[in-house]
Amino acid sequence: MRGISSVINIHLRHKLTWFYLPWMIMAFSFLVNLLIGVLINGETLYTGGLGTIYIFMFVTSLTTAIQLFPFTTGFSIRRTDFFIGTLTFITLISIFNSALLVVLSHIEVWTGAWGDHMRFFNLPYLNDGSWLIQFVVNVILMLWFSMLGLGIGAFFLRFRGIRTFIMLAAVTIIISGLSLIAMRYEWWGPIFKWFASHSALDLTLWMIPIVLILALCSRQCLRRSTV
Amino acid sequence: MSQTVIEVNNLSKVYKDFTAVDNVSFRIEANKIYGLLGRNGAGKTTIMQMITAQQFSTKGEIRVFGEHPYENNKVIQQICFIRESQKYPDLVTVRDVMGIASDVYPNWDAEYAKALIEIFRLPMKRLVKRLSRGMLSAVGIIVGLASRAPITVFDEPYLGLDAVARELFYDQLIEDYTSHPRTIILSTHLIDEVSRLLEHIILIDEGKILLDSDTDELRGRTCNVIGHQSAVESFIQGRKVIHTESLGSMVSATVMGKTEAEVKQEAAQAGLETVPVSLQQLIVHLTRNGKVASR
Repeated sequence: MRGISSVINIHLRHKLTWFYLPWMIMAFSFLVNLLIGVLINGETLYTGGLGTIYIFMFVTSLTTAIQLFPFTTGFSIRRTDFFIGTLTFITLISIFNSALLVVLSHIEVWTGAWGDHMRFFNLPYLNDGSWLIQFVVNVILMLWFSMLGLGIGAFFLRFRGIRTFIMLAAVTIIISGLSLIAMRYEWWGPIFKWFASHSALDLTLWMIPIVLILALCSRQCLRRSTV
Repeated sequence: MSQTVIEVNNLSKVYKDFTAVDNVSFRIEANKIYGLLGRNGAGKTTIMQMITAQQFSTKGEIRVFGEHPYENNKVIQQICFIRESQKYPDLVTVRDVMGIASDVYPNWDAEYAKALIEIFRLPMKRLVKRLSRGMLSAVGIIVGLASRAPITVFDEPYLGLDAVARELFYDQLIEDYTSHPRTIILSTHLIDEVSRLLEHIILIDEGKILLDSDTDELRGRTCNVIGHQSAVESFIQGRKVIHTESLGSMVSATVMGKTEAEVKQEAAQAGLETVPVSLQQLIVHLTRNGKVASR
């Protein structure tokens, strides 16, 4: 337990990258968009500023994993404790951020999209459903982005630069290949239809197994990592 | 005989194209100060990393407090491993590092850490990333001392430290070791500086153990024998000679005897002069020759 709580404490010392920085950038993007919305004073703006927080979860998970693991290992903390501590922290901050996002989305609805100028926190499709559904969708999305970051970080710690590059290149090639095949056989139409027929909640529920697999792979990589 | 805290048997670490550690066996006993000596790249750090489960061994057995250290909190929280290349995250300050260390090490002494920070004049609020090389080394030294871990390893802990700070480190180490006995392993190549601290020496070269001996005993049984060429040459017949050098007709031979008294007495009987050998000279000769001396 000592090790796990130490890891959480170390993450807490990095509130700047985990918390302040993404929210500051989001606040900035919010203000700029609102200003534009007020200035053009036409149709309601739909912005993608919300994406900032997800991108940040991905990048911060990736970089802190790579930076913190050699540090904690040098400070007599087990690999497993690093993993569990990091996972716990990511889950907690995802819950916290999601709750905040749900509140902001409700404020947005309540203010009538900030005087009908802009939709920033409450986007169609993504924010359909009750506050609980919105919350769950947000938490899973955030976990998904974080686990992707942590997974790549753990892979790098285990296999180092060149093999990580090859892995990412291989994944890119496979995805491009699949999308080419999808184009060739005209699968995109049905794929979009399938997406449209499912709610954001349905889709994110599908992400749960991916999150779990990513977490498991990260753990396995970290257990064999050296400093 | 005191309790064994680390036991290593036939330990090897083989990388793709070279052997970093080659079939090494040794024991570390409780509450002694060990010197893990050897040239750069001899395999000292790799051995310590395997003992602390930071690296995986290719072959062999490691027991620390009777257990394997891998993912074993009972073991690794008893070890504080300070190494020159310890990495710190970008955003931590000296204060943060001390806070984290106090979280991690069960025996952490915050008062002592505070005192050491003043002694080494470390700026508490500065980011570790922005410290000078010497200050960075001081951070490691403070963590190592104040952790009071039953096994504390300092692996080249003083890169960039000036002579004053190094002396401070040795003094603090001896002082704190006396009041809180524990096992300390110093890995270094500044041998002369630490020779007064070391109770036991393990000398490693090219991944192999050249020497594993008590410091006093080692000092006792090695000496330079000086005299005329013929006399020295007949004296060193059948003895273990580490090094010889001659100046005109005089020859000086560094001889390692079986027991402390043996060499000196016999040399005196043969009318030869004996002079003590410094630890540094001895180690230099041993590692330069690459000959395997007796354990």
